Amino acid sequence: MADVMGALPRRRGWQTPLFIILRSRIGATGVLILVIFTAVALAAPLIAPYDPFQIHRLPDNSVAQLLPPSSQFWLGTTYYGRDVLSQLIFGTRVAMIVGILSAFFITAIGTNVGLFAGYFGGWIDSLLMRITDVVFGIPFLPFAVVLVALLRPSLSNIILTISCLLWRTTARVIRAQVLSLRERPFIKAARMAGASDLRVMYVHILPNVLPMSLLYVSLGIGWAVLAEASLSFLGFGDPSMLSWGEILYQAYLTGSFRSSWWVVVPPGICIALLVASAFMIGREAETIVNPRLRDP
Amino acid sequence: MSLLDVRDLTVIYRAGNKSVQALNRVSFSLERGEALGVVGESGCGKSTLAKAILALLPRNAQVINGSAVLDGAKLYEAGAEELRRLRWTAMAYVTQSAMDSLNPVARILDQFTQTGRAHGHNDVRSRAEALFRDVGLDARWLRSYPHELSGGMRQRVIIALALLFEPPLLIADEPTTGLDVIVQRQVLDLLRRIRAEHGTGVIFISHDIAVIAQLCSSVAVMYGGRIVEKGSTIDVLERPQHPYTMGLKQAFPDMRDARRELIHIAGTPPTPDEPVDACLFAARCPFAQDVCRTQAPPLRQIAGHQVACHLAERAADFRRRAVSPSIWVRPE
Amino acid sequence: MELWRYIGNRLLQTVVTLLAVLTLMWGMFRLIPGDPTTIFLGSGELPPDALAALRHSWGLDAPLYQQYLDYLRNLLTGNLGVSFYYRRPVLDVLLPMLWNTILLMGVAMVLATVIGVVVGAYLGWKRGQRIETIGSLLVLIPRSLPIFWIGIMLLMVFAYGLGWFPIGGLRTPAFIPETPLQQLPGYDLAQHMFLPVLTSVIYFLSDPLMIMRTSMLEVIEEDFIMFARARGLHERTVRKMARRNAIGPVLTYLAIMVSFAFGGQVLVEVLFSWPGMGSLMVNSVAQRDYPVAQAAFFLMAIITILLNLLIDVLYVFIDPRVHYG
Repeated sequence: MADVMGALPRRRGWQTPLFIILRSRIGATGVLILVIFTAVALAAPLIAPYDPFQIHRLPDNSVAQLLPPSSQFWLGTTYYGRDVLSQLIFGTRVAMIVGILSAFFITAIGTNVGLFAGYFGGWIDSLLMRITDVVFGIPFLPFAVVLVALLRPSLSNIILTISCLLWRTTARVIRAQVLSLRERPFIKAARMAGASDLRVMYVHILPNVLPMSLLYVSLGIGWAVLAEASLSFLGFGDPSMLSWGEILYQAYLTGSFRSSWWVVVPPGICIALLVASAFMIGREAETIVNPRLRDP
Repeated sequence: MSLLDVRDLTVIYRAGNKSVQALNRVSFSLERGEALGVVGESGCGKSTLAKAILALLPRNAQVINGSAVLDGAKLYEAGAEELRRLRWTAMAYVTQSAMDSLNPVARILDQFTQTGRAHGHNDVRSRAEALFRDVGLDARWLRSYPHELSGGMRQRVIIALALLFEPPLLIADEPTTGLDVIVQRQVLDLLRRIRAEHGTGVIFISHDIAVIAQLCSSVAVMYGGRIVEKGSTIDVLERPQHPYTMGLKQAFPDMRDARRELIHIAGTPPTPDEPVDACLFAARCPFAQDVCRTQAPPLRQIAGHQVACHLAERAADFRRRAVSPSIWVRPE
Repeated sequence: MELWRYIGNRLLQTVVTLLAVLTLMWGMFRLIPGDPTTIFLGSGELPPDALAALRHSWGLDAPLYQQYLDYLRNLLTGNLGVSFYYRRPVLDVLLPMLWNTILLMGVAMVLATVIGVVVGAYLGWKRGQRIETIGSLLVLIPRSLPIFWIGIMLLMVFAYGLGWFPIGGLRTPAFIPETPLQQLPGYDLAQHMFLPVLTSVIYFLSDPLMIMRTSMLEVIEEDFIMFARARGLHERTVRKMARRNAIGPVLTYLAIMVSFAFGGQVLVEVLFSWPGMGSLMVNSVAQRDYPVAQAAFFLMAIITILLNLLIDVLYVFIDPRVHYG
């Protein structure tokens, strides 16, 4: 479907990435896991056996502290007597919200920066790339700690912090792509035909860098979930929301991880599964961008 | 004893569970100091032939039959170390993409040194300088990286490197393709001089029949992984007996006859996955008969050189008709 | 001499970047609602005029731009202020922690990179089909796990469970070596370093490994590798050539790894109670000890930026085809 000027197929690009990802076992697994997590997040109040904040008590009215997995509490209870499984299920919401929103912002900012820098070149490029260099020079987690502590730990601040910094890699990558696309005949033709810069950028170039952006959306989900877990573990998570990182933080604070694996292992596995699914999708998305990596 | 004796060489490529016949019972011999041209379209198996002789086929390729004997050494029965020792000392390789043939992160002299050391010569600096003089390059380029040289210069570096041990056999795979005509001429002159001075045997592979005509005393025409015509260059080009050779000849411009129309052989070369018992050119041949489609023509000696065509006796008649372009257009 | 111009250029960029980061940080800390004296207000210790005197001595009543210039001047002279919490110069508090961090992080990052590159090169060279899917999945796991969770697991099994390693800290107080092995110099330190380093290595080695492997896979398809064999070079020489050509992308990645390295370091230090800049920074932020937090963060940023510079310069030596600038 290439036109005479050597344009890349445009609209068709939308359908194909999804199928390429789904066609491979790894990609399909990643998508499946992501879908399952989304479903759990959406249906949390319906699936969770208990209220995650509810403190359970034993018959003698003492707190049902650190009970191992049983038929009543499938994954046991925490130090404070709360049901681990319910916490896990509701924690999915936090993970998905943070993951998806952050990934979206990271990609939106990064792609636009890359577009403008790559397309215009000159001082705009230099300026944007200097800013990107500065952002690259900032160690991520320490900055996030400072920023969240300054702003007050809340979910939106966490998302803001993550998005503020992690767009940097996307920006550089998209810029490189735009640089090479800029010289293609169909772009030159569009400009000669009088299309405005914005139009060329968003109508002609953007669809072609979209697969790459998608790759970084999915990587972004992985980074964001890990980042939120790390921040929570350090005590800077949103105290009103129960995230997987928070569960681990409390397990660490109370020292319960020494004896009670059920408080520690499940949250870790959940994080790993979600992040891994994002990276799996990312890996397959990479083959769209670089067809050589595709399996024969 | 010939320098190189290739018999019934058959090579296949595997892709998934399919296989492609790249070479089918190719046989020829090369005498010392002889220059043999191998001509054909892309996909006819010429490059595979080069790699097969060097025993450097890619992982998915395999020699399933045949033999190659170089200076007495049986290449497909030799061990890895023996092959390694033979490479470059007994046979050297000059390729088309000299850009990618040299290690991009090492200086040129270092690559000479490395090659020398692999064969027991520790100091090759003076030899490298002499070789550079031979190929017409300034010795100071020895200290450069490959990307700092132009295409033509890199080609000459490759040739200089190939001569490091004065190998009796030089396999040149499209060495002039992609170079402008002036540089092309220089490279050909160089090769001619090398042959004259060192008595090197050359297998010159190209799709450009004109270039081969300038350098090689004998020529083999390949099609679909088989040799379809073989003999002295003069004989084969003046009196081609295989329709494909006739077509090739007509496809190239002749400076002496500017009015001659160029022809274009319709269709593309086949890539069969199994040995087919038929003439592979039959689909594109204007003179094909039923026998051509049902029986593979053997290579036989006719009127001065060898040809694989059932109808070779009518070659003179075909030659006359081959001149007009209309005969080569496939009827739809 | 283009090389020197390039290095000079990068140095200049580095200085600009540093300045920008410094200013950004300074601005951020100034945005904190309330000022540092509030740490004393809580306990009601000081009367108002003593408070005013304190503010004056800290320069908190000067105009903003003045504070900024003071800040820069102080940094250049190595005066990082005084810790609100420890009541000592920040530099005194920070320096010992700095070496602890460099020790742990340095060892971990180098090990992660080296192991990653070596294994990745091997996997790429062998190019086994079976190894590819299983191997890349296997390698995906450490990347997806939070680094502190890896640490928790290791602690649970090897420290609390088997008791082979201490649960944290830098050294055992009053350590008395008993067995000959324990009498080796640095044994106590090594024992304390083992689990934190292992945690970091497990987490950070998968990316260099995959990148080296992918790079290697691409390189071995290149013509010059086949040509190297055609020249009769030994296989091991060809392999070395492949490695040398494949390592470029790993170096590029290291720049990214460096910016995440301190993040991992912070988490590991907190988990293992390792007295380094990371745990110091986290604690001082929680305690609102801004001079210390600021200085610790600044140090981490400066090290990150300098490492980036180093990597950029190194890359030129790795790949002579790079065009300067």
